[in-house]
Amino acid sequence: MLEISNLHAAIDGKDILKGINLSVPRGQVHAIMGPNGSGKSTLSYVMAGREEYEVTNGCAELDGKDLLELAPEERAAAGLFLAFQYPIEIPGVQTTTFLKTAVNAIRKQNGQGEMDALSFLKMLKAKAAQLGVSDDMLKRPVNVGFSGGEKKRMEVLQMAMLEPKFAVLDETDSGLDIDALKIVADGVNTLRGPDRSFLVITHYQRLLDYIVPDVVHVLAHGRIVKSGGPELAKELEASGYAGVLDAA
Amino acid sequence: MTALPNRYRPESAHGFLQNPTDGAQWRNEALAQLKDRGLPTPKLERWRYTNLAEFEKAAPAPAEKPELSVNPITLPWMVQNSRKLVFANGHLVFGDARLTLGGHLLEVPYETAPMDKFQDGMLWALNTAFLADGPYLLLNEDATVEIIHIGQGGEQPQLASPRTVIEIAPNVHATVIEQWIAEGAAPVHTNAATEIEIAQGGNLKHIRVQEEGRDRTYLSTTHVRAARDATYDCTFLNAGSALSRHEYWVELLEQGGHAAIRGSQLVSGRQHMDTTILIDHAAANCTSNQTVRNVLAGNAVGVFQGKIHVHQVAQKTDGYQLCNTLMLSDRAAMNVKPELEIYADDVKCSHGTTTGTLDETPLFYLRSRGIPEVEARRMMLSAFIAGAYDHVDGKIQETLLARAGAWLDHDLA
Repeated sequence: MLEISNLHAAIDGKDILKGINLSVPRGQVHAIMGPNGSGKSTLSYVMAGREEYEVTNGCAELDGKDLLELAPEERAAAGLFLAFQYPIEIPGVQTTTFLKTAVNAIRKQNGQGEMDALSFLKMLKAKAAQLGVSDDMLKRPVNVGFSGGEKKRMEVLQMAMLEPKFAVLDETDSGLDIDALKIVADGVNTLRGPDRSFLVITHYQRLLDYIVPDVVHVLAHGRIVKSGGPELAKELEASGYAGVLDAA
Repeated sequence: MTALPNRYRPESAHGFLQNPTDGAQWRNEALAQLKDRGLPTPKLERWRYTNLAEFEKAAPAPAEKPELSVNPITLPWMVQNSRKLVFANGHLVFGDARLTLGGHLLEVPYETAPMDKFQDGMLWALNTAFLADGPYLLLNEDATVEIIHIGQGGEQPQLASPRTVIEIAPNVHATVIEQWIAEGAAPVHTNAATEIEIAQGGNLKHIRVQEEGRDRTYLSTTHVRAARDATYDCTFLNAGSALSRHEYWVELLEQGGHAAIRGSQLVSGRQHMDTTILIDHAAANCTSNQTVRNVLAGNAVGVFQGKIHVHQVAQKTDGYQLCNTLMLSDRAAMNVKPELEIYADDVKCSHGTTTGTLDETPLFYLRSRGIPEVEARRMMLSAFIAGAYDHVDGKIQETLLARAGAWLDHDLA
């Protein structure tokens, strides 16, 4: 489903990604772990198409479609979703309006008609309830005045509404207490299925107790230096990155 | 008589002095003032950023009462059960004549033209010199009045000089909605003067939408006097005319008064748009709020000058001022001049200003959710403008946002 090969990217002339190779088959969950500054967030931004990052080499394809050629909105329509590490506040834009605009924008790009208001609201209510997102949050401007946990739940709600083929979760666990973590993980697990893949970026093994990955990769200095099964995350938790990096 | 300082340029009014009048004495007095001082020029500090040279050169003749090219019923009224008046080029063309100056022209105390107090009242004098009619609202009970001013163009450029007088009786709560729109061919320039007096406990919600023609000069001076516990609450949306100046002189004369002037200036192409506000805190325990949001595109020039003047007796004043500007083009220019002049020692006054481009981070966030760039930009601009209208409710808010939306679609397309 997702094929990244030899991906190099830089920001302000500084190389961050130095040849990423990553293949995530349909229906799988891969985790990326790594120390601070290893390029985890850069990878997520480059995939989503943030303009500050310059791709200097390599390619990234989703179902054979070259992501790097596409505008951010086209990547979303192609089925890519990024749950932000720091979700952005957008004053003045009501959350419900935002979600509806996004859902319909993607439908339109894929040649589908707009969703009627009633079906949309029904779907939103059901998914919001599942994630513990209140009506009040839906009425407020996007992420404005939300707590850290509320913002992360809102990211997962957006993902649930947009039903992407491939979702990147960038440190979705950071800033969450254990209860919020369970809610978010449940939300993600509900979306797991044979046609949907995930890339879960995290510092800690804890999240991977709840969202159990098929493969764990270790990212360091802009490269994937080691890959393994879920047990690799436990190994990292026990011995730290230093041990794994030395061995690599 | 002492000589006037040389920042005045008397000859700048000569073109207008050639225009015919009916010779009424109060007109002649106003003409004499003009002859002395001329029109405002950029040599006057408060006119630094706005130059009336072209208006001065054109010196359009006073507008006649025109044939209206639209049916008043089909005009964009905002409220269903309002009293409605339509003026074309400063002449009443639709509505109840008892609500207009018409027959009262000789009774209204024009000597209150606050020329000396505010130093640059020449446009007020120009209005007095050529005014024909205007709304005359003596509101003794709660009411909503809607006024549409049409600049109905004919064959030659003309000058409309409507005078609006609004008096709010004690404890009366009123809403007055004004819209300025353009029809017809040759430009009708406007030099409006508005005098508002709000008695004790009175409350005026003043909604103003300026969508005049893009080949026209639009000048407006508003003088407000608020008594004890009176509120003047003005909300504006300015999007029209080639060159415009919206000037406010608000006097909070007794305790407990409140003035708010909030709105947006939407400026594109080669437009020049100026909002200049003076809030005069002349008594204790008064509050004021100036909130202006500007969006500038193309080669547009925007001006916001906001002054809070706190007299020595005006203790416990709470004055607030905020001006936020979004610049959508490198060629646009925004001039912002906040001024605080404070003579009392126990006051709370604040002002802030931001000028910048649309933030790329939220834009990326919206786009990453599948919203195309153009639509994402429009959403953010629309949200920015809406921030100037949070305080307005219901249908009127909806209308203001729809008008701003029409501007976004038309001017930024």
